[in-house]
Amino acid sequence: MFAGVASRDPSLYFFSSRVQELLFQLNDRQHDLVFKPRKLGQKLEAPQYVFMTDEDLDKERRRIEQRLREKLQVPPVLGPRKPIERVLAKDPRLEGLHDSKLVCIDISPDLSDRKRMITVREPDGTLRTANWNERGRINQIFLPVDGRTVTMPKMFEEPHLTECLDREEYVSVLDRACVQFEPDDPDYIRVTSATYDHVDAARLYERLQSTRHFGALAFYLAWHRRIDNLLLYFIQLEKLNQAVKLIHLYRLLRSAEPVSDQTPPTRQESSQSDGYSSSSDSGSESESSDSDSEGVQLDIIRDYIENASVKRPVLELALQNFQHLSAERRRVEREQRRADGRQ
Amino acid sequence: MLCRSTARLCLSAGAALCQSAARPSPSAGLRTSAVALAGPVGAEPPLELRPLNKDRSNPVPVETSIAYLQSAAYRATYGSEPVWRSYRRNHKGHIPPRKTRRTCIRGGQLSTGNPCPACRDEYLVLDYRNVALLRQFVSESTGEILDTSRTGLCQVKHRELLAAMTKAREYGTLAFDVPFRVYDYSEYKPSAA
Repeated sequence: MFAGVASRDPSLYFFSSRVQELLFQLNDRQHDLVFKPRKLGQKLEAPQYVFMTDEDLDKERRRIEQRLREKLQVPPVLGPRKPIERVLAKDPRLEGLHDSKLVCIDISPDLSDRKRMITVREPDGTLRTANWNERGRINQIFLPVDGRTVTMPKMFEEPHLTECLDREEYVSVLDRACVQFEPDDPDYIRVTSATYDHVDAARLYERLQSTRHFGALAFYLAWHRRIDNLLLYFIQLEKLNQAVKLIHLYRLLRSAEPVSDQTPPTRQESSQSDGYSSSSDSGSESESSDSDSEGVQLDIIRDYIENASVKRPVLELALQNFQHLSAERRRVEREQRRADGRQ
Repeated sequence: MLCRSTARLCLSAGAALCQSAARPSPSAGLRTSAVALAGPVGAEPPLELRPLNKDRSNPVPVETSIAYLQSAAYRATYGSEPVWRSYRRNHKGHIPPRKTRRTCIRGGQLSTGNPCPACRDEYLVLDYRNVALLRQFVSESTGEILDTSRTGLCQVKHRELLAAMTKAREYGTLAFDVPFRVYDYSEYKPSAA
């Protein structure tokens, strides 16, 4: 759950551009998987082959980059919502007029579903605003969203949810949860937390890679300070860039003041992270690009392992293995070059 | 294998449950390949051929159907193709009627020649838990439920299929795609304190 000990609000951190950029960079972003078509019963079209000039090609590449960002938009991470019911009027003289509640909704199409007026007249005459549960159902009846049901599907209840997760249908569950619930719905938080926990326990992070849910998974793990398994996964795949980004995300979410776009990186952050480019507010830190020295990245990871990790021996071993492997690789390359030179 | 001459299901699923070692007698009068029955040396015992059972008054439990779909009898009968692939409707003229027949089963018995793919094999139960069977009725490319013009199911069985698919989506036994939801972050951002 996102209610921590001090009930910190994750939404104060989630929307910062630095956090958003990190979540985007942590994703593999394989175009084939990101743009995989969804089977929604639509008529299939034949692919088109187009002749393009260089300018057209550049324009198309930029368009694809833009669409990539849209496809990888991370579902908002919010704390559980607070009750919204309040009594508007009490009319005891209306008691006995109706034997069921009456609901009023403003169906103007240009209103946001979260803000439109929905009121309920109880049989005893009380006029009150609708609670969140009622709001969800009434909105879906009058302004239906494609893919959403009025009542919560049984697949999100136990034991069916656990059965789905045991079948490793993570993306399917998460996609449906995004459509069915609002991000601050306690059911949404419960379902997504159960899914991320299952993925973390099974170490099946690649199932969520190149989907919008990987960013949410990384945020969840960093928020709850359980990044060790994911860090191990990145180290074993030799993706030190991603490992360093994950550590950076972890530190950002641990900081006491919520990260906003206006605050520059604190001195504490910049002293810890030597490899980071300095002070760019727009989150365009290109830390851990390939040109950064591996040594710097290893220092950052080692610093985390020593000070903040839970699974210290496993991580240290993995890091050692990586260093041996890369030393071996460099040695082989050197000998290859020498052999080529002799020829 | 299906006997096209008599349009009868030669290989009963009961064989899966009790496989006998006896070879089928040559006087059985069934034209089917003995190769499928004998199998390689040292494999499981050959499957038993049984006459067609028209009684549908005792429905088969779902668990049996799920086990049947993994069995050697099913594999020998249908191979790796969907169960409706080898079915052909009988009708007058070259264009089939728009709707298939209403039902193949009347009074608890098969009451037609050439029953539809789901009625002819009593061990094919359309249930939300029988995912291996349900998947055969979903289009690979668009995720739609196939129409009776392709599957040949009778109307009653087609409605059972639709009900099973709705329940499968409700309980999450069958994974399917949902539309991509675009969030307007401005609705969710905390208001500036």
